[in-house]
Amino acid sequence: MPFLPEVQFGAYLVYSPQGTSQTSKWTKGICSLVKQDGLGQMGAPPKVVRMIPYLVRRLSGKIADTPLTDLFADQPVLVPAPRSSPVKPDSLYPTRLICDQLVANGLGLETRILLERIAAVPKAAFSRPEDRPTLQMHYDSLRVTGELLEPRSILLVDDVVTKGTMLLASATRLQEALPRTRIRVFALIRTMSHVEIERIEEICVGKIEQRGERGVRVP
Amino acid sequence: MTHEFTPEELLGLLNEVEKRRSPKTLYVAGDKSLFEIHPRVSVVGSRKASPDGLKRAAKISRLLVERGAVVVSGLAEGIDAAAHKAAIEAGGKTIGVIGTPLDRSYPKSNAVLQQLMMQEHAVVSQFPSGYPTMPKSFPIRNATMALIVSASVIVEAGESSGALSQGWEALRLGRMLFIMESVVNNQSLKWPKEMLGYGAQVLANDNFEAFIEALPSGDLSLDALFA
Repeated sequence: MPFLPEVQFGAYLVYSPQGTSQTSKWTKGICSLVKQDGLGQMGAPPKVVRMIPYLVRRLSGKIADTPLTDLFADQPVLVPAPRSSPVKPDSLYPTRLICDQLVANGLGLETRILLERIAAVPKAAFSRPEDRPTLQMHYDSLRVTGELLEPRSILLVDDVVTKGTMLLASATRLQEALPRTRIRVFALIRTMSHVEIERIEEICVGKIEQRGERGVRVP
Repeated sequence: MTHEFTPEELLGLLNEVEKRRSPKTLYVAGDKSLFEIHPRVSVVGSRKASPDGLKRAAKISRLLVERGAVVVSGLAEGIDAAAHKAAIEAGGKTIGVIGTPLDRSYPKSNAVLQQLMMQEHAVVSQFPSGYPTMPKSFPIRNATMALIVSASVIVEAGESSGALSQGWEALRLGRMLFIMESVVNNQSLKWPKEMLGYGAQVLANDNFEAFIEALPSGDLSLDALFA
């Protein structure tokens, strides 16, 4: 099957990998904490919050009247995006935690693990652009697994989306196995390269398109 | 003076995976506030390290200290001692995670370094005074070290090194794990390829900055960010 030419996507927060302003640096901190299911502090006296539940709770309070409501409107089954490598049992799985929190906040029907990684691919953050995995590399390293009763709608959920190549390859794998299911993607955070961030909360919807060997996110 | 903590008292709330995999108690001598500094990065490896390995451990420690990280290691001979000493010489802070109770040292040759760190830095053990030290105590402490840090760097390690326990634990906990390029290129070793297959990354000169950038920092203001 050829790759899907495009997939609709939505995202909640933004982060700047190269930004040097205080806010940009803080957005990098949020990104690291989400990936490690870490903690933050807020308020006076400081109260400790776990980052993923905190962010999803904030999102659920803000989502009404934003374009993101459409992604969740048909009560999609939430599918955690796979990690960049296979995982040992009892390992941390941040995208699953995000899915579970979304469901707990009424966003999505249930979490279902339908994709697994059978071989590691290089992490984009630590690779030169030309060494980042292609659609084909992602596709070959992924396998559809688990309960394949065809849901009406699936939302593939990622923690951080850069270009979206992995998500487009993952959506292709799912569409192949579930031809009648509507598949869209959501990321808690999207990268904004070479800009300074003014506001971390920048809800957006757009699409990830195939361009040559990789995906491109718009916006 | 030794203080006794639960892991949550020392490290903050743990997530579900961390709770399942953490020791019940941590005994700390020295500056407890070092456990509140981010990032904490572990630099570990072989007791019988090569001269190049020792130099690499010292260099990484210095670079981490320059960027405000606390260097964490196991107070063993070789790579561990080189990492601690370089952090201290660079004016930074360092934490030792040991496989004996705090009132004992292994190896004895690091007893002076351990004493210094218990006064001016911090040393932590999960083993109470009087607890017998066994060979398995050391890989167990390596797994605990993975919990204490946000990233681990394996500088050099053979197939039976305790650093491998730390590597696998770091991967389970979703922490960053880096293996030095020189180790990955050593064709006689199987473990680096296995760990790369489960998400470890290669640390080389050209991605060190990206590694530093990806570490969580402590100066995050949620109030300002979400105002």
